[in-house]
Amino acid sequence: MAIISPLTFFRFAADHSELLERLYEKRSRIAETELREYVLACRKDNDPAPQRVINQLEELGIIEPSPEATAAYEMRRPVAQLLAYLLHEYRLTSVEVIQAYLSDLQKLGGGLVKAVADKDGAGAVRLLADAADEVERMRQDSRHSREAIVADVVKLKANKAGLTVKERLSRVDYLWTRYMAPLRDMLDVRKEMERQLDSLEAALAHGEIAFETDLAVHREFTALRSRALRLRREIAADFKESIKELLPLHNELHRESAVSRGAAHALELIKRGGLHAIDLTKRLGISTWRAKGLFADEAIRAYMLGLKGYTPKLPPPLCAVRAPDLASLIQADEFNAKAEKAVPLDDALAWLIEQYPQAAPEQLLRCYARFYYGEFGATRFAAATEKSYAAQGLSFSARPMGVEKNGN
Amino acid sequence: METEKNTELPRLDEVFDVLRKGRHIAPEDADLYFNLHNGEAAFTELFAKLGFVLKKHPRDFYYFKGEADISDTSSRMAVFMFILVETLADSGASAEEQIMTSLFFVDKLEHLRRERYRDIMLEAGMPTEEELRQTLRTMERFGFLKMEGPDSFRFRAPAYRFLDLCMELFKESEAAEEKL
Repeated sequence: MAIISPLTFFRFAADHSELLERLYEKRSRIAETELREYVLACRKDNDPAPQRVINQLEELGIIEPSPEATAAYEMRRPVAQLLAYLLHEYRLTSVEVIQAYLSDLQKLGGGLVKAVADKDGAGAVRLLADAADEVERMRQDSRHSREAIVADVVKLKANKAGLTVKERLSRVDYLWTRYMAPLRDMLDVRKEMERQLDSLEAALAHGEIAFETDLAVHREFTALRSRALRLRREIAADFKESIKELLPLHNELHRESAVSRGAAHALELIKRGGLHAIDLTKRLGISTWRAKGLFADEAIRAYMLGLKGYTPKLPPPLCAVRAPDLASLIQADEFNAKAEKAVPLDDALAWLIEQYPQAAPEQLLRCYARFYYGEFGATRFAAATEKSYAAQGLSFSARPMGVEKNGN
Repeated sequence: METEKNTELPRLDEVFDVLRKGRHIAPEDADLYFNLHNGEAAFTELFAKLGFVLKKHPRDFYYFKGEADISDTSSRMAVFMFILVETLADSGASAEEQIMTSLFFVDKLEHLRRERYRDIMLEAGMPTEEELRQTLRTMERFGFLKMEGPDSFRFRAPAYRFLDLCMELFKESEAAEEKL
């Protein structure tokens, strides 16, 4: 690639800022036809021919052929990073990258300790410059991570893409498990960063004392100490801010997800086992207390008014003494005499009813039984069919029973 | 006697009457809510002596904890809410936020449109729009929502009870899965 003049680069960028933004949005695997469409879409009246613009994009190192496909391009990484910076679109820095920075700082710290011991001022200045570079990159990456998380949170909250709760939760969980949780472990739990920075600061403090008389070197040690201090402060602040942004959304989406999954689970249970599968009445416990068996005020008032004018009456007698009904009885002596005189009889029951029209039915039957058991002579039943007898409102059915006179 | 009672627990009879009927008293209920809120301890104690449990929800509303059997009513309201939560979540919206802030229109509800939901609505005794509207009226009576017109309604804070129920069911399903 030819040497690129910054002036030419920025002039081209100024003339084609919209095109650069579009290419940045796409970034990787831009098909040649797609590239041509972008160029045509962003073309102004005095722009050169589209192919010329495409050539310029390549010449200025803005795009390069994609390694994974033919007739396709991708934006070169330094340009993408510049645009990310300008558009405030930052990438997240993984914990592995931060650990690599810390590891480098550890090595540089070791080198500084040696340079201080050897009183090697020039070597110490070189190491200090490298360490300052590492510290600044670490600080910038931390800030960019914070910006990236804030941007992601804003995007997820606005949800212009119409992602479902599940999709948004998955993104938040990714941010949480991939970046925030390991960073928290490193900062708060294992305190790895603190240890590394403490060790670097100790080396710098020794250096300041050792090179107290060499002002140029001393100044470099002091400057790096200040940078390390700022790094420590800003990383902690970035982490806290990131957590502050992400945690409420993380919790909210987890609750949202639980609510929607709970509803889906309930519907599934109802579909499979009917409404009885969930005891909704007991779970909701809605009060429906109703008064039962209570008088209305008006009813009580009427009742009390009735009580006010109440005069008790004498209770009715338990039972009334009644005179015996003698007509219904058949006197035994009288019956004996009458029966003896009357036999022989063709129909004993008819005779009894005729003789005692007022007698109770049980009295008639008792006397009939005496005839039947032969007290007044042998009995015989007529071959004729049954006959009906009426006595005291009752009706009897029997074959006529005759009674013969004793001795006949 | 009457004066003394009113000074200690203002509008006691009215508060008791609505609570015993299952209504949830939220800040929108203005006077009733503020009387209850200001005398919460005294109301709670009195109701407890009468055998009622006055509950205060973390979202700031009051209700009586009941155990009476009104299974149809509870089931209908719950099924209505389950379906609403699921349709909102499917559309990518925050169900909780939408429920608490949006104005809903009866003719836009998915409950009787999708076949899967129609089956469940039938099971819950809401096969037609008339029964669905009846459920909405019942929910209004209990203080879960407010009808803004014949065809639109807005939820009140007590609707959180249904969201809590969803959470409860989710936790149970999670626990059951963990056991497996």
